[in-house]
Order: sequence, then C-alpha cells, then structure tokens
Amino acid sequence: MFSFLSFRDWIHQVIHTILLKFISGYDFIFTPLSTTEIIIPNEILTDILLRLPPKSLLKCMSVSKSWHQLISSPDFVKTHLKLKTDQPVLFPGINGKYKFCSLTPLFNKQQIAQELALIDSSNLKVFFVGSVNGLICLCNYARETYIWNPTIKKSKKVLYPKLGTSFYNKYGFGYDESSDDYKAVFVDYNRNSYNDDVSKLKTVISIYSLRTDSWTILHDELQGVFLLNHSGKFVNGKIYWAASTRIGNYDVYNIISFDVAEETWGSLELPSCGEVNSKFKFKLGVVGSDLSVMYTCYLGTATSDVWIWKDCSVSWMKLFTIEYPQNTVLVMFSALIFTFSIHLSQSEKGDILLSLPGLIMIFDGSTKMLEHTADVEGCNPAETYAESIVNPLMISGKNSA
Amino acid sequence: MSSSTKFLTLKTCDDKKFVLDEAIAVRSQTIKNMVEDDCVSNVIPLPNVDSKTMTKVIEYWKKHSEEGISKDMLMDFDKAFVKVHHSILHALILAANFLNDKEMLDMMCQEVVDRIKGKTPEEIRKEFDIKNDFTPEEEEEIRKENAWAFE
Repeated sequence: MFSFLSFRDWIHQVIHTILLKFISGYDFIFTPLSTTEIIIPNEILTDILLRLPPKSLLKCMSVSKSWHQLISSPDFVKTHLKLKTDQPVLFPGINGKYKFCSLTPLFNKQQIAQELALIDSSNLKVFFVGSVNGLICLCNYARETYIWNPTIKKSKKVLYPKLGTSFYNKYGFGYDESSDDYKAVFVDYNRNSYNDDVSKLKTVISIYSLRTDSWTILHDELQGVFLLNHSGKFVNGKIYWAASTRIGNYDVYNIISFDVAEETWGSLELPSCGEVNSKFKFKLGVVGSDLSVMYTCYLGTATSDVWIWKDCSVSWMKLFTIEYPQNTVLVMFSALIFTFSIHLSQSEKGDILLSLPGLIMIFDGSTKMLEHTADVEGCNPAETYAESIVNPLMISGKNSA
Repeated sequence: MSSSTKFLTLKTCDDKKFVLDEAIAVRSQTIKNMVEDDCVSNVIPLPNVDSKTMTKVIEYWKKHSEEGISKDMLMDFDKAFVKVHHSILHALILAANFLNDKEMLDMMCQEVVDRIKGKTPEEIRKEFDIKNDFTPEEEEEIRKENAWAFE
C-alpha cells in the first residue's frame, strides 16, 4: 500500500513537472542554456568594443540596451578617440571636394583614393573652418556653419551671426577637453560702409560653443592685429594664426593664439633666424601634433628650416632642414598666404611628407632631399583626421537635456 | 626530476587537479603574486575556472614557454588556438582575466573583435548569447538613425 501510494505520488509529481514545463514554454527549452551562459564583465566588453571601428560600433548599438548605453556614453566616446591607431589625413578641397587618405599609401607614393561625400550636394560653396576629433567644421557664404562627422554621417547646422559689413574674415575650430566642448571662432574685420577707409576696420569676434549651442560676441579684442591664414591651426588646445601688423601686409610678424577652453588670446614671437628683413619667408604649419614654422631661404639652393614650438620649454626648436632641387618649387612659395603640414613616417627611414596647397612632397628621412612630388589638385594642405563616433547632435543635446 | 624544478598543484572548480611547473604557472600574474607572497600551500584553488578551460589554458602556456620555438610557429599555434566555439572563447576570456594573463586575454579579446567586425546585430547577439531587449519600435528607430551602417 505504502509503495503504491508513493508510486502514485511519483507519477503525480512527474505529470505536474511536465505540465509546469509545458506551460512555461520557452523557459523550459532555454533554461539549460541560460545556466551555462557566460557573462563577460563590463570592463572586458568595453575593452573589446573600444577596438572596433566606428561603422561596427554603430551596428553594435542596436544589439541590446546595455550595449547601446555603453557605446553612447561620453566616456566611451572620449576613450575611443584616444585609441585611434592609424593616422588618416584629410585634404580639404577648395571646390568642395574633400579627400582623405591613410598616411602609409601616401608615403608609398600611391594616389589618394577616398573622397568624402559632402553633407548635402545642394550646398553652396563651403570653406573649411577646421577639423578635430573626426569632426569637420564648414561654413558657406550664407554664413551657414556645419559641424559634421562624415564617419557617422551626422551634422549640426548653425547660423553664424552677421554683424556689420565684413571686409574679410578668418576662422578656426578647436576642442576644449576640460569641458568636452567644440568651438568655432570667426574673426571679422568690419567697416561701417563699403566706402569706409580700410584703416578704420573694426574687429568682431564670434565664438560658437557646440555644448551650449550659443554664440559669444566680442568687440574689443585683436585691434591692430591682422590674421593671415584663413583657417587657424588647432594644436594642443589652442588655435594659431600667423599675423601681420597692418592690412595688406603679408609679412608674418608674430603668431596669435586662441585658447579654446579659456577663450583668451596670446602671442608667440617667431624663432630668430638671423636675417631680420626677411620675415616674409616664414610660414605657419603643423608637424605631427606640434605647432611649427618653416623658414624658407630662396637664395642659391632652396632650403626650409623646420621649427617646432615646445610648450613645455616655452621655446622654438629647430627640427631639421629640408632641401629642394634648384628652381623647382619656388613658384609655389610665392603664394602670399598658405599654411603647411608635415607628417613623419613611422618607418625606420623616417621620411618626411610636406603638404602644401595642391601639392605633397616627400623628402628622404636621412638626406632631407626631395624624393617625390605629387599633385593633390584643388586641395588645401592635409589636416589630421581620425574617424570617430563623436556625434555633434549629442554634444549640444546634452546641455538641453 | 631536476631539483630546481618546482611544481604547483592547481585545483579547478570541478575538483580536478593539475600539476604544473611553477615556471610555466607564473605566466598567470595571480599565481605569481601568490607564490611571491608565499601564500601557496599544497594546492592553489581556482574557483572561477573549470577543468575543460584550464586544459586549454595550460596547452597555451606550455606552447608559449617552449624553448626555441619560432615566432611563426607561435603565430600559427595562436591562430588555431582561437578557432573555438564562442562559449569556449568566452570561458577562456574569463579564465585569462581571473588568472591575470594579459597577453592571453588580449589575444582572446582581439579574436572577439575580429568576430564582431562585419556582423549584423542578430549575428552578434547569437555570438554573445545576448537577448534583444529592445521593443521592435525602439530597434527600428536605432536602425533608422544609423541606416547607412547596415548598407
């Protein structure tokens, strides 16, 4: 009797269990799986995701809520920026056609293949304001300013205020790491009417902050200072322009800097290169991630001394002198306003790539002699450009949220 | 057995014991610290690692400790070593993390990175055993936002 009862109990239990499992449906099927499921700790997952290129990350964002949250967090975006391994460069086109390329094929004397599709093709002629952290700032003659990330195809459009009649203007774009903010600076030299004397130009500075999505207008700064290069060079938190002392004078007198975080102006003296009367031979540029000036001597064999600015020692340091074959590049250097950029190859030879408007030149790392020239038709000098997932709409969105 | 060779006994969570040359076992920073701090009694317990995973780890350690092995041979070994089912790959990541073997962890993570590249979200979910917790509407919206990435 006892055994019969227990058998009945047993049968009862089995039926009950089967029923339960049947009712709970999918859980029954998947329970064994979930017990063996391995959960990768967040720090390792972060390490894995940080190694992915932007396009893969965008796909990963739709995997799950927690992945979405992780990838769109400001910390993740910032860390991802710092881990970039290859160093692509961007060639801002004068005709609106932007090209970009990794440095390795350029050093290997290959042609630039990739071209960026502009934000929208209906756009008016745009000029290049600057580029940092994968964001490109553009402006057109209707003063529409775009902060654009071509990698993730996102852009923010703002209108840059028109205050008076601009005789000419200069601009720049930079990053303030302390508040994770991007700023565009426009310097307008205004006159009251078209007939006004150019000596009475008034300087108006407009600064746009992406984070606060607002403009600051300043009236009394940079009086008597004339910035030369159109687009300032952004280096280590500051935007730099070569400057002269009067309008129409293209001799570089000193270098003017704008601190993006503090919004303060400063100036740098040029390195002393001997001849006092030949400052027109100075050009402003960037070597890797250092501010640089190039002092070009036209007499006899043409050479350029390349100096870099060292913030730590507050002084200029002569890096090397490059040598041009006679009479070949002098035409290029007669252009009144241009900037340059220099990239050094990571290889043992340490070749030097000099980027000028429409032209790149490669110099042998040991002899510093010109080895190769290539046209980059219709393009300004290369800018460092690393693909990123920085979303311009998120930066300004965070403030209003 | 040479007198200079010291052996350690490692015990995995499923109570299997592995006797291993100390010189090889200290590829794990965790074990190395224990040895240096003199907290090694007879058996080192590895509560987070099962025997199946530990066998793989030891296979890796032994190969990487082989004398005179060429770089190319190691590369071929590594390539074959990471070609495992994702559940084993993930178990190895957890083991490498617990044992604190940075070189091995880095290699396994890179394998996961390579597996994610070029995959669709569905394929990634499968790879990681991740449940899709978006509502269809939410998922559609996120997809639309970055539609070009799926082209």
